[in-house]
Amino acid sequence: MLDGRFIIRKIIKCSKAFLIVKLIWILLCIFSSSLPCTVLVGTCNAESISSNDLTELSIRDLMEIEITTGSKKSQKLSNTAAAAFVISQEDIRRSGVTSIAEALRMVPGLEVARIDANKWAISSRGFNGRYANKLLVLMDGRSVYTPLCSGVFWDIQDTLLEDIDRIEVIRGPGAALWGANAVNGVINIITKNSHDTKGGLVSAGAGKEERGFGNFRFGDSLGENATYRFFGKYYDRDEAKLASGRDAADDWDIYTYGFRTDWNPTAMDSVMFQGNHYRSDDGQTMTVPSLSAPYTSTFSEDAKADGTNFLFRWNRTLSEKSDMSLQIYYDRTRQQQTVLSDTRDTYDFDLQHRFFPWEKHEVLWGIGYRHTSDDTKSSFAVSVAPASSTDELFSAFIQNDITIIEDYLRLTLGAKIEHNDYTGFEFQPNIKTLFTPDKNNSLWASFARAVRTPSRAERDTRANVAVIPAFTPPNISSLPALVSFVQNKDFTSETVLAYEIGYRNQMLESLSVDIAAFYNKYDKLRSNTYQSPYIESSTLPAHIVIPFITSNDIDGHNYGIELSAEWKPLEWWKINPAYTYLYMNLTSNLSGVPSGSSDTDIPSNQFSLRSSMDLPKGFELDLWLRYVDDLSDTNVDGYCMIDARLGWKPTQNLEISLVGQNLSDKQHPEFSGDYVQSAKTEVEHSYYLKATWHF
Amino acid sequence: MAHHIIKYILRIILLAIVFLSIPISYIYASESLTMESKVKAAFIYNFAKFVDWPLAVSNDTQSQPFIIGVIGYNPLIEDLMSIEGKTIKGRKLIVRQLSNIREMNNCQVVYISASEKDNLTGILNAAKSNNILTVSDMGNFVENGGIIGFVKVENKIRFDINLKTAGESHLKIRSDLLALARRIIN
Repeated sequence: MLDGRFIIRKIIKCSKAFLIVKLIWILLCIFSSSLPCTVLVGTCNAESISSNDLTELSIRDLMEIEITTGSKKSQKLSNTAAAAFVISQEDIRRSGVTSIAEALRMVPGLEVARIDANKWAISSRGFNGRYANKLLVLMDGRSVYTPLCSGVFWDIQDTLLEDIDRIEVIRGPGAALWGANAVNGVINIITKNSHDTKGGLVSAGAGKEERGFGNFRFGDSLGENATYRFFGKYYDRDEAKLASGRDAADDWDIYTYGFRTDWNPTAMDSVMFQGNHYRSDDGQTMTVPSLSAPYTSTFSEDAKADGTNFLFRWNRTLSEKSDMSLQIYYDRTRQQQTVLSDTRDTYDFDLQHRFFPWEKHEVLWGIGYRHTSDDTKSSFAVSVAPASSTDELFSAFIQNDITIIEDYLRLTLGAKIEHNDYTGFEFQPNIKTLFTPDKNNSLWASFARAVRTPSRAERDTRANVAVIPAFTPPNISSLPALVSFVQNKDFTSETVLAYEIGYRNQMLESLSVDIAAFYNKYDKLRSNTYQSPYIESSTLPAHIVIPFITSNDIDGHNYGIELSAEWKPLEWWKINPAYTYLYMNLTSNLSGVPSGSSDTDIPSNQFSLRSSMDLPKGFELDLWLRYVDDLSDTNVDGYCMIDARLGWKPTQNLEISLVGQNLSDKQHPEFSGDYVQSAKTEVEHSYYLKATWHF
Repeated sequence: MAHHIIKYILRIILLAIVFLSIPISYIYASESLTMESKVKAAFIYNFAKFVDWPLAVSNDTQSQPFIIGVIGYNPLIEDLMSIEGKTIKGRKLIVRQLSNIREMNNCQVVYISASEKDNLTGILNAAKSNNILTVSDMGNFVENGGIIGFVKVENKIRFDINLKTAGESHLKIRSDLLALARRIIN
């Protein structure tokens, strides 16, 4: 009824534009025979969903409905012109994962591989590694991507999992909003407002790989308009296995604690302040080169990491059609290990303003400033010069979201301009469009340019990776030869031009499908380019250096397709399949000169299938099957993993769960190949029992 | 050297923007916030279940319809209209677009559009004497004497309650609802 009236009104208003849209739609229907029937199903479905269903929800449920999503600007998922995926709190709970890194295995388009018990390689759309540098990660708006070596240390990205509201993953460039390094994706980990975590929570558990863990949280009101919570958690984790079946030395433990307060001094203002602290001891076995026999030394150590951060955010509604937010944070991270120690302090300031300057134009703009300084302690294996550095980042962005035909067609134009100390100004534009022929179908396309800016690792760091003793082929000289990755002051930004297209369909109330495809063209990717050897005597004994200079000699492209669906065949049964295909082709610009990069080593196919069943008497049964294809360059075989969880809620306040992980094999490797040689270990099968009590 | 000059200039620009920003006028309204108004409509329907109205003089209120009125234009009305016919406290729900204050008399709930901000005092006074539950999403609604005000907090809808006005309007708000409110003004 409503739709019909609306369409007629539209036709009168802008019949020409509508005809064009309709023409495109008809063409689409011809090309895809499935579309016409889904349109029919869709329209009757739209009638039945409407608000009738919402009134059946309780107020508590209504309060949980996400009106919008995304942190810079909020939007409903089905209304986002990007390959977006959201992991909900319920997904985390039902999956049985015990870390944020493991939760990301649900997301199509991401590759999550465990290097050892405490190290992960996680990337979006290829280019994986421990220092995967094309994926930006933020926790409540705080960047956790390190400018030391461009990447994310996943072991220390932790908070109480029960307090995570959702994890939003956007594959593809997000640089026009989030800035440099959001080349192939952005992950936003968003914690709950403390208003939603009143009361206490205690959980504890133990098992095979999870030797023991405990969590607590308590939240309450603080006067009439404010709430707070504080939490603490501790995890003690077992070591993984070496390929030989022997125990590795990578057991680790981490404790994290923090607080969050939310205050609404007036109806127009909301203020949030949070702080976190963590400390971890990560076991690892390192192999570093040395210039005297036996030319390598292997040792096990506990790498220590700790950090503290505080974040303040103030949102103010200026008028019905305008709001602003101001965010300031301080973040200190510290890592201590034999090859390299680093202490980093970051101050960040971010201001955003959203308003409607004209009818149908929603403008979001903002400015930002980041000041980051570090202090490193080098070793023979990894040396950073200068040892300390202070870098500043200025940024400004603007985005205009234009409604071309209300409820049908939207166009978003945006760009971010940044100035960093390495490459100066960077321009990162994005144009995207969203076409929603009806409530159940949406089609989007996007074009963007993004850059990955140089880090200290490429500009200031020399890594000595191996020594070839004298008179040992291929070293025929009388001096030992040292293979080094050498810094390059001219190393510049890597760039991507990304073309994306996607389609979402809510075929039935119980079935929705999301498809995204992309083609990315990369320029000036990092390479390690061979240069003429030379004799060095600054470090004794004198030796030959075989330098591989960090440079921008690789170009290439990749493309892929990502599928995910959610199907509720029955009221109590939910199934989530996801499939990822990725192809990658990188070429070196310098023919005949070796330039190393393991970036082409990708799993071509990945598959995940999750099933969640709500059984009678408070029981829940969850099964999760995943398959990851071979990494052929580094000889890592494809693997299949099965996780299972049996949960039981005997009362409203108590939950007991038994989780089995990687049940399908005894142990398997997931990743190999990296710059610094830490021992790779294999993921074992595991189980744990956990009890959670709410009070 | 040039690098330092650029950075110096950028710092000045940054400071200038911070201190000069935001006095921009936003006249035009647009954007159909479909989902948002649907959810708000469902909230209003639910609120009614947790509020007790004073017993009417006549005993046959049960046979009377339960009327939700909307003052000022708001897309929400279409979502409210779509749930017309449902029952609230055993009474049939009717939704009405109100064009003046006098039409409020028979309503149990009145939703006040933000466009009516200038007439708020008059509307609220009339509402108080007619035991009407007032709801709105305009800024500072509960501070200005409205009973339930919607606020958006991190993409979710929350609400504030003015218990003082509710008391003066002889409306009893049940503790289940109060427990979920973001702020309560006494």
